[in-house]
This record gives sequence, structure tokens and C-alpha cells, in this order.
Amino acid sequence: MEPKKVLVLGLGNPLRGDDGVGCAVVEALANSPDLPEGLELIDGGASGVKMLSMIDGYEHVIIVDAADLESPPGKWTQCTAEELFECADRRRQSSTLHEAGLVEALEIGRQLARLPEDIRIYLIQAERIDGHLGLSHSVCKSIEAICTSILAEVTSIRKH
Amino acid sequence: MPKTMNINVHHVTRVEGHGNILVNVKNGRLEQCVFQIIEAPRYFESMLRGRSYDQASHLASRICGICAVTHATTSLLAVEKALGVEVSEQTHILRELNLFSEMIDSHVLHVYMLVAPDLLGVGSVIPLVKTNRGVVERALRMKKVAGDLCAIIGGRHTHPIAMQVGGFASFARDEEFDQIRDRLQAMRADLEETVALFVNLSFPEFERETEWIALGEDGNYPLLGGEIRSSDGGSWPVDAYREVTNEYTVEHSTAKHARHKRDSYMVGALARFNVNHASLHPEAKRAAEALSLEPGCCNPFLNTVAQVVELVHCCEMAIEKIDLLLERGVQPEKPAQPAQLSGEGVGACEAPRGTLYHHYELEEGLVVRADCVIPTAQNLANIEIDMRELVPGVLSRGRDEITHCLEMLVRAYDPCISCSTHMVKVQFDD
Repeated sequence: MEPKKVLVLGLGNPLRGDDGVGCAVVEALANSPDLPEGLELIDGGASGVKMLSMIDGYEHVIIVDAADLESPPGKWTQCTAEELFECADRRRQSSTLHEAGLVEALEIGRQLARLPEDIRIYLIQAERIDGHLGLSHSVCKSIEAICTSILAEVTSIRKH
Repeated sequence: MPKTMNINVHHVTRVEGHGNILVNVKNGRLEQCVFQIIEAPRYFESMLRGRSYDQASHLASRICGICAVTHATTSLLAVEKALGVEVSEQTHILRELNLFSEMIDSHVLHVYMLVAPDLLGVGSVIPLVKTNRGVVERALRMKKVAGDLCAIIGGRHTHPIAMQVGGFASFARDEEFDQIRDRLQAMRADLEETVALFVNLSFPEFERETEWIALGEDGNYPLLGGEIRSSDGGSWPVDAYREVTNEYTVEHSTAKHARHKRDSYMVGALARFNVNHASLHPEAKRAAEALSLEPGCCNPFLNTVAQVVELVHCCEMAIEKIDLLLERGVQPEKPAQPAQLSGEGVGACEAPRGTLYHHYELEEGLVVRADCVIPTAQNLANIEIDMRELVPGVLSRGRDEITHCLEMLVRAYDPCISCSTHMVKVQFDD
């Protein structure tokens, strides 16, 4: 049987400090010595709705993005697209700073029934998001553990 | 006319970034009418300083997620001018092709997802999915083709990795160009539907003559290359952009304003249409006729209609350029090398929202000074003067209607106040 193709999509803008953590995770994965076969990596940058084109056709997608989780900087969590929608609904407000951020883009995809079956989202608490290059130390420290977790998930997806 | 009215739209929605509309009418007199930009400065120029000449375009492409290809290309042109790099014709064609694809992607986003909800009477694109599902599906179909074309040329959907100083790091195979050509041809049906949709939608009636500025070139509707041209007459080499942009600061905006021969000027699709209409692809001219868009159009709301015309133009031109590439066969040529490592250069391209300039000084291969003039900054003064002329004519209407009209005006310009932050605000209940 063909191994299942999995996409890891990093989102954000490296010119906005910790907003670039999604791209940094993708870069760290790309430099991993033993990347599983069939794993595709895309640095999606600040792609907005364009993200829907990028995830189109994949069965399993792992999205990595910076977030305000009201947690200590560098702390990260993992959720499903459904959990993200529930959270946004509960807040009754747009949960992104952008008009077409992650939640809105996924919402459009959901309404059109065009989302991949399995979407997992890694959200990392940012320390500083403003006009500068580079991640803060606290966020940088979390990258290794996030990569380990993603690679374990990819392995598990490909086994089932 | 009401004696007193205050309108304060905090964060105009469906634009990129944060801007406020402030209108203050006292004793029947318009006292204040501004488009306030409150975002913190982004310091892109300072980030470019100290970068190696071959890294500048990759950083520049991160300035905007929507206009990433245009920023990267403009940056490359500035570096190449400074360092005496002469690129091949194939490189020029591939860059043009990439700009066509980005313009399709951006214009589809604007006309369908940011403007259409106003014209179809819904609050945003998400309810539009429920009321006009086919419309949103069509938009996403076109965006997918444009994004895939960007990926074929630039190595990824956004923030192109394969574009570099002097040429390209990698090339798609002829079969990939063949396939995307077929998909562009198939997109013509969606473009016909797009024109038909906008023929039936009506825009606010408002006219104000202004100066329109765009890159121009005889016999071409250039997205890169050419010279700066004004509808008021005159042309300038791109190196002389400062004679045209004349940026200045205003108290209520963290983005600079610009003016040329008048108090303001306009860049973007309508400006390009007004300056370069004669060089549009015949199919795009036919679309303009169907949409009743004529050169010299003074209604800024119709910038959106000019974008629809440009969608047809970009699709047809992309097909022509691919035909040219396939006829010759894409050569895996090596990038042209710099003649020197120090110098000064200006690059200019037509971004979806208007003319974009990057100006660099390089010493020993490093950027030591950078100046980026973005289209939205050039349009801000024009937006405000439009607002001041528009408000007295609509003051008899209710506050909500006036507010909506002003928001639609701002959105018509497709402003990109800030294009970068991508942060998610989430709180999970344990």
C-alpha cells in the first residue's frame, strides 16, 4: 500500500518576530536527518485564503502557527480544526488579527466541504509580535519538541 | 444636511491591516474627514540593511503575503540595476508570467471575497458561501490555478524561493507548463462568468477627476519594465520615482502620503487602465466594453471593475507567454552574474494595488540603504480627498448608509495597510 501523504504547513511572517514560528518549524523539519517518506513541507508564509489551495488534495494536514493562548511564551498546544472552530464560536468574534486568518480561511473551506479529512493544528504562544526579524528565546526553545511531536504524529498517521 | 454627525469606523473590515475612518460634521460643516492609519511602522527598510544582495529579495517577499512575488521581483530589479546584472529574455518572461499569476490571485481575492459581499448584500465572504456558494467556489477555483502557476515558476505558492538575482534556481518541466496552460484556458469560462456577474452589479455613482499614475511602455501593458507615466502628461524613468511620489508625513497616519502634480494621485488597476488602456489584450478590451468601463473613468469605486478587466488580460497574457516558452522550450540556464558588488538601483513593478518601488544602495554586496514605496501609501491622500468630496453628497442619508459608503470607497482601493501578521487569538476552556 502507498504510504499516506502528509502535509506540514507552516504559517506566519518571519518579519514579525515570533509570528514566523510556523515557518521556522517547517525549516527545522526540512533539516531533520531522517524525514519520513511521503511527508511534504510547505512554508506558507502569510498566505491567508491561499492556504486553502495549498492543503487541497491532502488527506492529512498538520498546520503550525503562532497564537495568543494566554499562556507563557513558547508554550504550545495541539488541536483539531473542529476544536479551533468551537473556540472561535464561543468567543463570538474573529479570533485572528487578519480579515482572512487561519480560522476564517478554514471556515470558508469547511462551509464548502473542501477541507481535508484530518487537520491537526499546532499553536505556539508568541512572546513578541512586531516589526523585527528572529524568534524570541522562549519560542525558539519549543521548536525541537514541536518537531519531535509532529514527526511522531506523521509516523502514527502512516501506520494506520 | 444634519447639523452634527460623528462617524468613527474603528478598523475598516475587509482590508489588509488596520485603518480607521473619522468623519466629523459640525453645524452642517465638514470639519474632519480622514483615513487614519494607526499600525506601527514595519521597519522593512531597516531589516533590508545589512542583507547580502542575494538574500534581499527573499526578505522582501515576506513584506506581503498577497504581493510576495511583486515585492521579490521589484527587489531583484533594484539589485540587478545596482550590480549591473543583465537577465535573459527567458528570465524576463518567467517573471512577467509570475506577476500575471499573482495579479490573478490577488484580484480574485479582492473582487470576490472583499468587494462582492457589499454588492451582494452580505456581511463577509463566510455568509456569501451560504447565499452564493457557486460564486465562492468559482473564486477558489481561479485562485487555485493562479497559485499553482506561482508554484510552478517560483517554487512555492507564495514567497517564491526559485527566483534569484540574475534568473532562476530551478525550472518547471515543459509538461507542467502544458498542463497549467490547459487550466488557464479552462479558466476562461470562469472569467466570462465573472464579467457577467459584475455587469449586473451596481456601484455607487461618484466621480472625481484625479491624476492616474502607472508604469507605461509603448505597445505594452507592463507589470515590470517601462517608465512612469501620468494621465496628466509626462513620463519619468523609474530611477526618478521620487520626482513623482514626493512622499510626506501627516499626523494622523503612520504611513506616508504621496502627491505629484495635484494634491493626490491614484495608482492601481483603474490608473493602469486609464494610462495603458490601448495596450490591453483584445479580450480584456471586450470585457471592458461589456462592463461599460471607459478610459478616463473617474469613479474610484470602479477600480474593482478595472480589476475584473485585468483578470481577463492577465489570463490571456499568461497563456501567450506560456506558448512562447513552450515554442522555445524552457532552458535550464544559469543565473546571470553581477558585474560589480557596489552600486545603486531602483526597481519598479505594477503590484495588484499599484506601482511598487524598491531603491537600494549596495556596498561590497551588502544593502546599505533601502527605500520601499508601496502602492497603498501612494493612494492614501487620494482616498481622503475622495472621502471629503463624497461625504457632503451623501449627508442626507442615515449614518449607517454613509458609513457603509465610506467603507466601500476605502475597500475599492484594495488597500494593504499591513499584510503580514498572522497571529491567532485563542483561549481554550479547560
